[in-house]
Amino acid sequence: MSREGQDMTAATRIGVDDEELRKLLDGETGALLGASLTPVEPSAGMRAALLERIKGVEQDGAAPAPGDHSETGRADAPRGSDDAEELAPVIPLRRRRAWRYTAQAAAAVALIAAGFGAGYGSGYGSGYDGGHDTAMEHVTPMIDYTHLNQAQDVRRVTDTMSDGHVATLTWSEGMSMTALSLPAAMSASTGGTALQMWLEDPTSGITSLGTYAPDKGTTFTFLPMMPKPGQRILITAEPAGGSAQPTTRPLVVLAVGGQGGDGGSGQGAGPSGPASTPSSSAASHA
Amino acid sequence: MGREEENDEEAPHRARTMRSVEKQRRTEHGDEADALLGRVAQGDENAFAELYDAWAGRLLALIIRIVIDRSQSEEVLQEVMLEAWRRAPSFDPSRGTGRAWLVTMARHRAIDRVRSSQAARDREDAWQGYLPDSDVTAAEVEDRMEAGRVRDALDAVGEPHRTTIALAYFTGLTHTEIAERMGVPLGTVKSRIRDGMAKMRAHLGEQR
Repeated sequence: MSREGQDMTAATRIGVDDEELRKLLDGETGALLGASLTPVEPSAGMRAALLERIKGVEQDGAAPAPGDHSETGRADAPRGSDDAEELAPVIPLRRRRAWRYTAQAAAAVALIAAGFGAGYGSGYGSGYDGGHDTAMEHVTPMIDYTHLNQAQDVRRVTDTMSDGHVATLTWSEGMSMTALSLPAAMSASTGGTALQMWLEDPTSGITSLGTYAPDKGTTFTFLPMMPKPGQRILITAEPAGGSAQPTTRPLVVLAVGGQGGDGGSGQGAGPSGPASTPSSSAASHA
Repeated sequence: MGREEENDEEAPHRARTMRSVEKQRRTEHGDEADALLGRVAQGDENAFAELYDAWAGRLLALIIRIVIDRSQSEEVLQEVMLEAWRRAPSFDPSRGTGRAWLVTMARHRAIDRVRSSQAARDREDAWQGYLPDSDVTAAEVEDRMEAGRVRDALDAVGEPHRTTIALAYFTGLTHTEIAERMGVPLGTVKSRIRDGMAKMRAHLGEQR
């Protein structure tokens, strides 16, 4: 394949449909941008494992002759599509598991030390990031929420209100993370009241999960619980500061079904509980 | 003779200063990576260790920003580092810096992983279509930027170019998806990236 052909294919592969833009993003200015993020320490053991691994990895041929630019020496095109199947082998699973398990053990220790609840309140990532609290301590809720939504085991239940707005409960057991997202218009409509979140469990009854207070610029908040079949998350409008028990009819009901959610199927498999009946205040501002 | 001796006394200091300045210049311009890749190309495992020490953290930060998932990001980093080892002999410094070679490789690998994961999800799940908030993405990227002059350059680009560049560079979104997300025509996204990158390049000065 010609060099130009390789470049075009590479552009298509990464979703860039303009060759000029690809060159801009992959050029020296783009590289400065890409190299400017605060470094994140890789897992302990990766360095040693890689150094061991390269002993068995043959390097490609000799350096290209002067003027020969047909290969990937170009800074802005490290691989062409012909190389796509020639992936450098990753470290054998057994070895990778070793350091990952070590990291996970460290994460578990850190999690226990910090308290499970703290994993939600401040260090959202501590339960799943492989034990790199130092590197991840500045991770923002939005990144966590993105991460949650991209988890392989993500589950969701939704409640569609009469005005069409959708409330979503999203969780991942693998990440030990649960998030509630309410329509922005609903949050804005509270007017002196608080949207309070409740966990209704068939055996233990109703427990407050606190008031819904998404960070600025977001429409979600993390919950310190992992949904179980039969449980429901209720949202009620309560006096500012919240109540000890629900005092109004639920605005939103998110019922966790027998399969522990909809398996990512969106609204089609919505909540199995009663249909939501938004209050007039929430609906009128939506 | 006496004059030469005076000069000789200052020579070590001058040499150290020059080495320091030269090292800084080389680091800023990616030449350090060039030299390391040159040694790696010769099969120098110590050079590979130095390359890892110098670049693994930076590359992982970029990969995580794109892939999000920490575990998958580390797998991508392994692939990138092993590929750097394997393909170092084909690196040609006359075509660009080692920094660009490594960063571009990492970015493409990360986007490949996002695309692959996305395709798997599309097949297996009814994905709800989550897209990151554009303003938050740009702010997050700036928050995590260590290099002041690059941050300054991105700031100097101004909105809406800054957010568009952040989405184009640091997420797996295609330009079409960015256009949908920002509610503007595809051509507008392209022109914002083109103009924004040009402004960044001008602000950063000549980059080889």
